[in-house]
Amino acid sequence: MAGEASRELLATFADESSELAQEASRLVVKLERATPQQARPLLENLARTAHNLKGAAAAIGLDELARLAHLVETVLQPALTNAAPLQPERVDGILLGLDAIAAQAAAMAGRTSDSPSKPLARAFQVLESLAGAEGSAADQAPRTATVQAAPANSSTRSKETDLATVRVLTSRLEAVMNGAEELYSARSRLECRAEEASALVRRLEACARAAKSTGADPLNLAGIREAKQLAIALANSLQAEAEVAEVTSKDLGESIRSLRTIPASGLVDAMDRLVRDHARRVGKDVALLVDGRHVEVDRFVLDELKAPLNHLLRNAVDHGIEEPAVRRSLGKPPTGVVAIGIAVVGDLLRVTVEDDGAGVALDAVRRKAVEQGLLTAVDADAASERWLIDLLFSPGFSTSAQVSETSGRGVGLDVVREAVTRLRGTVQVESQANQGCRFTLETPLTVAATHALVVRVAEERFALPTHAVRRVRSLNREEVKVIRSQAYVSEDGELVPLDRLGSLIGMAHPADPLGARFPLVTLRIGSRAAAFAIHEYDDEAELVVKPIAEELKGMKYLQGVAMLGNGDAVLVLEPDHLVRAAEGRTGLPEPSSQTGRYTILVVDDSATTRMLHQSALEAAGFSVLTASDGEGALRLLASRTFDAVVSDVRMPKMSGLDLSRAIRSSPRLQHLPLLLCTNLDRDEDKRSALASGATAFLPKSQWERGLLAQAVRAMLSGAKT
Amino acid sequence: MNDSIKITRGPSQSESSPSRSRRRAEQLLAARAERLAQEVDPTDERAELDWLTFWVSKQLFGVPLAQAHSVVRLEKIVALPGAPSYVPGLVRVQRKFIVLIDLRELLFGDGRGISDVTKIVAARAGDRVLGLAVTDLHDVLPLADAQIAGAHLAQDGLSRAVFIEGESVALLDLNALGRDPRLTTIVKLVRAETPAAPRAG
Repeated sequence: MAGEASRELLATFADESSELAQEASRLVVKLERATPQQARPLLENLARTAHNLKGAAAAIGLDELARLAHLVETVLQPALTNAAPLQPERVDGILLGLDAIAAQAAAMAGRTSDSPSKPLARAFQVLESLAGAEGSAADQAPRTATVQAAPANSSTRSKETDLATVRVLTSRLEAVMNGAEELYSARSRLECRAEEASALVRRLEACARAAKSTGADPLNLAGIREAKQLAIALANSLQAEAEVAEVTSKDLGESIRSLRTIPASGLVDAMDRLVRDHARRVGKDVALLVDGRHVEVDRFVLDELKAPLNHLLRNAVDHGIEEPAVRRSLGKPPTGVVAIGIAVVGDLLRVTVEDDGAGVALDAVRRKAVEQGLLTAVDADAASERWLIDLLFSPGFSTSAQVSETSGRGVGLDVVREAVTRLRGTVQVESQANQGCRFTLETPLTVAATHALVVRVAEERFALPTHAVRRVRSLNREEVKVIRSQAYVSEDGELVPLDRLGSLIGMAHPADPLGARFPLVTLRIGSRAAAFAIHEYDDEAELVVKPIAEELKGMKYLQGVAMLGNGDAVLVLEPDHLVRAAEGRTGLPEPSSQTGRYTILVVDDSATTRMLHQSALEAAGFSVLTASDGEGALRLLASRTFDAVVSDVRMPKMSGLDLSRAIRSSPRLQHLPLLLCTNLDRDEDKRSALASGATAFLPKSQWERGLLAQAVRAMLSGAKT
Repeated sequence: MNDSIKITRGPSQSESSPSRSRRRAEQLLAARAERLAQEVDPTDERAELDWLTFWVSKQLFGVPLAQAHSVVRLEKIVALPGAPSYVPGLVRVQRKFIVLIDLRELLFGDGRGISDVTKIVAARAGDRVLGLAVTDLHDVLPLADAQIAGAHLAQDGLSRAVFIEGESVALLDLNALGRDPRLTTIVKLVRAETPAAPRAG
């Protein structure tokens, strides 16, 4: 009986039933599209799977589950004996039964708090009804452990049992991995110590030469030589230890990586069923093609990719693939195709999800962006396709209501990017109207160690993952091209944006690296690229990147922190964000607030004007706080973070001009956008406003025409009003 | 009780030697362990809580001793470009990188910086550990709950000011600090020059 089964046996059975249910799901999905010739072996495999499940359940006394598995076999039987197609209701029943068995096993093993009793009862009801006459036989299903062994020559399971395997909790594997990561760091430090010891030898050699040439006391000379010999011995010993540590850590790393590696089928096998069920639910005909099931992937990476892949497939079925009738009218086959591709490219894992559906409806995206205040109508019309597609990844852009009005792409796309970013990977989207859409996810093969280029800007060092580094070179200033105030450089015939790395990430006073000739790093993420001026490239390093604290997730340029071999810590930068920021993806900086809305401080001594400005800005999607004079504004600025300030000029206590000067003299606030907004309309008023440090000046005649929000947005995007 | 408390006005030079400071930190944390081991009667109206007090420049702060995770000597700050001025950067404490906070800048906005910081008090703030930049440790003060409850609560709700021998001590509510939006989501400050957005065509 179930109660007699030990916890270990139950846990093993839960694993096994889950794998068998997944395998059965895959076979069933294949069966639905198989020719009669292809169907026979699939049916036999399915029968064997159900049979094995029955045997395993019976063996540990789970008679009820054994009976359910037997019912599955019974429902399969007519198709096997008569070589008839498996009817859809029988397919549904079989899947229901296998899922119920897996869920019950998981519950009994204590892996879920859900009670699967209802699904179990439902499965019995459906399968018994399908079994009909055979059902009476089902009642006589073996209640003892009389298990017929499955043929050993074709079952996947039987092949697996030939191998001596041990199931290990992933948490234990992670603990071993963490230890290995520390070993990586220790090895790097040891190499540094060895290098320092070699430097000491060279220094002592120089001392000895100098002492000899100046006729130093022979005793002193002997002392120096003795010290040199000791240093040589130390350097040699450290070097030898470093070499041993390198070989050991590499071997250990490889071994652990192989422990963590499983075939990609672990990720995609469940997707067959997901697509099949979802397509049936929404009345579409969708075939899933998978290429690369056997690619070996880090289990952690695979687990993290599960949710994004799930989102992308549902999106493709829901909103990419058209209804069969629509497809016919477009001259497409009624069955839509969603294709998953999994491949290893260099040191990256590339997962593509491609459909032959409608593609992204760019006009709908434009409309939504304007409605949500992300773009003005003018900006939306002028926005490039790539930029619009990128908006789909913005948090909050894609609610289900919005999705139904747009092409639908967008559900969970911010979640997709977030998950892939956690893996230090990237997402690219290509879309063609009525041809389809392709998402390309690229992540490092393993999250254990990252190869990085260490660069220096001013006195700080930063690490850039080398998978994104396209080129490192020195550039002559004359090679920089300026188009509409944006600097570009030519990379293989393509103009890519050029930015200063320091100022892009917000370094307070990065010295200008753009001398007559300066070092340049070009990063490329998919089809995007940008070049960054730095002060110096340092070295390449194998880094163990520690994730950043939750509260720093708003620092988008930051991927993590790592220790260099010399014991210094270095910030690891996020190449995807750097490239996007250099491109000026949205033209707006990230909002400072958690809500994703820009927070504006309105300063005016007139309560009415304050209210007017506040209403206008809030209607445009900004969050607003107010102050009645410059002093009050400075107090608020000291205690909170704002994205911009809109201020009157003439105010008691402290005027707008004085406020502007105070803001510009504060190291923290000196770059804060400030709009002076006043009744004064003369040129000299405008000049004195800008001379005080204001970013922009807006006369009353303009804000009365409702241009305030537009002026603030333009100011945030860096344009001068 | 307060009469017995002696306040040293500002960190003394003699206390800045590393070995002395380390010894002091060890003594304070040992005192914490000893006090935690004592049984407390929750019905006792005279109930006291131990506060670890420390100097940040010339301002005294206090945190509940039970929430003080560790006290370590500052070795190196990893600067965080674009971070608000109250976040000088990241520090490594017990193999983890934690966010370092400049309390004076955060609470009072007086922007003196933390150039004279010699230690970090790693303290639990809600479910996180924050690094508090500290000029020097001061003492462990047992303060009555009633005395703290009656003290003036700062407008931001993050600290209460108590006066001990005429010296103002800002007692921090670390849990409230852990929930403060300025610390739950630290974002990059607005950049001065943002490149223009690329346009189609």
